Amino acid sequence: MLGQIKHTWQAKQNAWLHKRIAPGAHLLGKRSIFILPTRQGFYLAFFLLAMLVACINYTLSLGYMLTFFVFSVAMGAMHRSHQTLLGTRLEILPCEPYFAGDNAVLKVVLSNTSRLHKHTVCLALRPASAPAHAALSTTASLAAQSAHTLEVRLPTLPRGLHPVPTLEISSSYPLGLWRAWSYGFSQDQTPIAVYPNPHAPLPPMRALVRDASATAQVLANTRDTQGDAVSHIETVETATGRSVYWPALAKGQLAQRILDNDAPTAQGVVLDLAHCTAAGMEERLSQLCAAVLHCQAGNIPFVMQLGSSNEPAQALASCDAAHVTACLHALAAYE
Amino acid sequence: MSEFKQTLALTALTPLTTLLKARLWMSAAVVSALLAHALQGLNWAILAGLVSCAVCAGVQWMGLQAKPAAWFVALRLSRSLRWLAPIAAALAVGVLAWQYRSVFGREVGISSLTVLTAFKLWEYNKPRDAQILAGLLFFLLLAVFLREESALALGCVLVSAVLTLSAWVYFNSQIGQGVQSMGAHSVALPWHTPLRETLRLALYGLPLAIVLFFVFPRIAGPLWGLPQDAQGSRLGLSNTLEPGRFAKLAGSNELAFRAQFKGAVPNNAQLYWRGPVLSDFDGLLWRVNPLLEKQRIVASPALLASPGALAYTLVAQPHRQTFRVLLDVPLQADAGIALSAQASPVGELMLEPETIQAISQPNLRWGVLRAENTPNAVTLQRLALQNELDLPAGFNPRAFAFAAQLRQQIGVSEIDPTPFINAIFSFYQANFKYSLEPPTPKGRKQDAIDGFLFDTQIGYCEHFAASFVVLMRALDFPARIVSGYQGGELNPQDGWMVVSQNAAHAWAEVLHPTQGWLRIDPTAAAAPWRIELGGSQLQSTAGQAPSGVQGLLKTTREAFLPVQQWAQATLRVWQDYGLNYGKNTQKTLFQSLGFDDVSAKAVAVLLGGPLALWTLWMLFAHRQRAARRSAHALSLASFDRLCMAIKQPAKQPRGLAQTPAAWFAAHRQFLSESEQTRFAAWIKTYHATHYSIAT
Repeated sequence: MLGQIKHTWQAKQNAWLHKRIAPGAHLLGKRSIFILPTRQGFYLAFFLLAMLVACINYTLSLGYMLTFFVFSVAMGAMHRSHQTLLGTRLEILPCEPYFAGDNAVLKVVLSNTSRLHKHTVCLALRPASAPAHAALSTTASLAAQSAHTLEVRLPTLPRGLHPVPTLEISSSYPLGLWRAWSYGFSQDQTPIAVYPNPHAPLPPMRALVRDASATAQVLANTRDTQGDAVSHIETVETATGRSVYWPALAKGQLAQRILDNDAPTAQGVVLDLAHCTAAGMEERLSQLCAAVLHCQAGNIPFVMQLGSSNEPAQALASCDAAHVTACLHALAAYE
Repeated sequence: MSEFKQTLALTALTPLTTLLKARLWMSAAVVSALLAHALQGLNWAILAGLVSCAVCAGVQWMGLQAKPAAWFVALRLSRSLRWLAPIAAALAVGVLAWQYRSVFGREVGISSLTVLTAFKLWEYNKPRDAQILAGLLFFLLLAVFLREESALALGCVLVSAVLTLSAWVYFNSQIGQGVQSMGAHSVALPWHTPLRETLRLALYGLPLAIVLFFVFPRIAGPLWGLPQDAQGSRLGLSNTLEPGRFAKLAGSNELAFRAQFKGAVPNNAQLYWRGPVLSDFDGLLWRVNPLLEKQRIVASPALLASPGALAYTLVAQPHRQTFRVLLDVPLQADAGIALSAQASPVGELMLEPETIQAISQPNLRWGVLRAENTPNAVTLQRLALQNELDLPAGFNPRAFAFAAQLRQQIGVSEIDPTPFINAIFSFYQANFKYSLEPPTPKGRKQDAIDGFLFDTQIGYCEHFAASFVVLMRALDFPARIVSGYQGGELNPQDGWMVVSQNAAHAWAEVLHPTQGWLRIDPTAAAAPWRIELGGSQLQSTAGQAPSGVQGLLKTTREAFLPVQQWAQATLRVWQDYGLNYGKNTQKTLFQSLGFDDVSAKAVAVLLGGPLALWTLWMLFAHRQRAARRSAHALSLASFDRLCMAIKQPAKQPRGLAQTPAAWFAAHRQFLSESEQTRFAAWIKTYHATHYSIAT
């Protein structure tokens, strides 16, 4: 119930924000900057109130002067905090996919279009869009009429497809009494793919042998460039999870050995989820991911099979970048 | 994130040099606040604070040196002194409590605050420390005004406040919340940036500060009981005559009050401004008799209408005491001021400037009047006479002997004091010298009058008046000291007479059996020029022969008269609308602006009016800027705004390296006719202004 209300509230808030802030490159204007006092601001307000009471009690005319002077400086700081964000152009560059457990960054182009030097502009992910990771922030100082590419650390997310986080740009310069902030939405809303963690033992692999006679019952619609069907021949499992010796596996040596020793006529290897040895699903996907990278490094063509495996794009043995990316993306998206 | 973790993260991520520099900034702020206090008088708390600041700043500075040895020593010192600081602060507060025998009170409070602030500097690491220290500093600065309210104090305090805010800016932008020096772009601030930033903020806020100062409704008087010493040692008269007070006053140019006569201005010798009457003498100090002060007398209507009665307006500066000063002899005054049994004007505790309409009769003898008008006149008179004859026994034996000798010479049963007064005057004229820096007489403190009369014979008004009153009392004539001001300077430009603290004076009154109270000024016997000139020229002539100097003074004075008068007028504005701006002045100001009173409506109009004007101006400036932009199309930002304004799903934002022309070429198909025209026009102007392509 509460979750529902929270969700609705956030959706409404987002809609309201999207009305004010266009996705993509966005110049921060008066309508899109918000400002509120910080805890320090409330502290100072309390101090000033106490000073005012002291002035009244002791009839200190010059004390009023001091109190109002500090108060007006605090008010000036509000204007200044707002000014620090005003006229900043924010553009979020498309986010590269990354592996679970890796440090990933969101690249942001910040340009200062105004004639003022902007001190301490803080970039972070909006807490609502990346909970518990708001503390990862980057601070920048922007010279007048300049542009910088900044990196905001992305949280270490689990494998999967994640929505692009909202960027929060804020500044509490100069006194920390006020916090002015705004948001940046990425133009490209395709979800960020987080691939499985590749640090896992390699799964058993089979050699892929072209068999012209066997017409495709299994993969009827998958044909290579010559229009030939492909099928699979079982080979001996050569490696189990525990017996893998990592230095020996560099640059696809294992896959190469399979091809050299067991099936010299094969076009590549088959990576199949069903043959993965690890216990959990995530670990098995990690194994496949490791194998994909293994094959890419060793230039061994491969096909990957997930579950019932009706993915046509992966049925062609290949090891080019597009194929690898597609496979990794499939691993990230696998449910 | 818990605060501990946050602190850990900060310490890990903050370069040490930044922290050291932040401490240096704050040291400067604390030192300036301490110096503002030191101007009003040094005490050991301030000295301890200054030493603490100096050591702290020294250690931080050492830490900033490139030499590793210095850095290491600084780090060790920083750590060990950080533990010492709270102990030292607690110890200092303990000593202060012991010294003042209390933990409440003005002086002990200010001194404790001084010590705590100075030692807090050692614990200056986290955003919260910055907060607390800045708060403490603002309170410390406010406390400067408890000691002295003057333009100099205000200047010092404002400089110190600016330094405090600069230190805060530095801390916040380098170490403060959410600032982590991760990105390669976080650049260290140059040293002058915080200062410039603070001045800029002050400039932004100045109009608001000024409006608030004048418009914020002033509430009169203490909200709760003030501590015993809340009044502080303000310069001016008081209800006791401490030795040396008048010499201190003679060195002060501070305004005491201003007066404007309705009619002819009396000459200087007639200008005796009557303040507290000091008749209680315990052998050391002279005091106002509290019982007589509470009694009230009233002048008859006949006296008020008598010829010679002077009506005048007096604007008094607040001295936070109950007495008032009016021209001798006061008959009537408004603003709740009454006359005590000794004809001394009394009112409520004066916390704000007062405008008093008063009537005085310079040639009146008071004694007669008192007998006529007081209901319990007999009792009162007896009480007063007893008080005014009282001399502590065993003190000043030589004065008693001298009085006895005079009695023998003039007549044992003589009841007219005049021959005695004349004899004492000739004694003064023959032997005494006037000086504001008299030597201290040797012997017992209780025999100070003896010492003045027969040993040193050098002194000023308080010595002459006190010794004269003691002699008269020893002769069995009721006598008392009257303190007040003598003289005044008329500013012919505005007709106001200015009386400064340096005109403070003490004289005597002796009761004549038939004529009433006679005003006797024994100072006039030794230094008649003091009375002719008035007090304000005293400083340079004190202790010197009046002839010659007087002439020189006159020429100098005449040469600088316009400057002086202009300065006085400026001083008056500062006094009324700065230093002593309070409930009454505010009411006057509001009335001159067309409001009846300091009402909520008036405040709302005066606060809201400027705010509305400012908003309008901002809107106007914004539109102006927008108009300028669209006319010249100078900035790429405006092109981006143009791009954003169109609602085409297919449009892409302009890339960083993409020129407007290239963007336009790629998006032409998506744009409507009117949009195409707008973009084309923009690009044309842009090219014309940026690349000077003839079009």
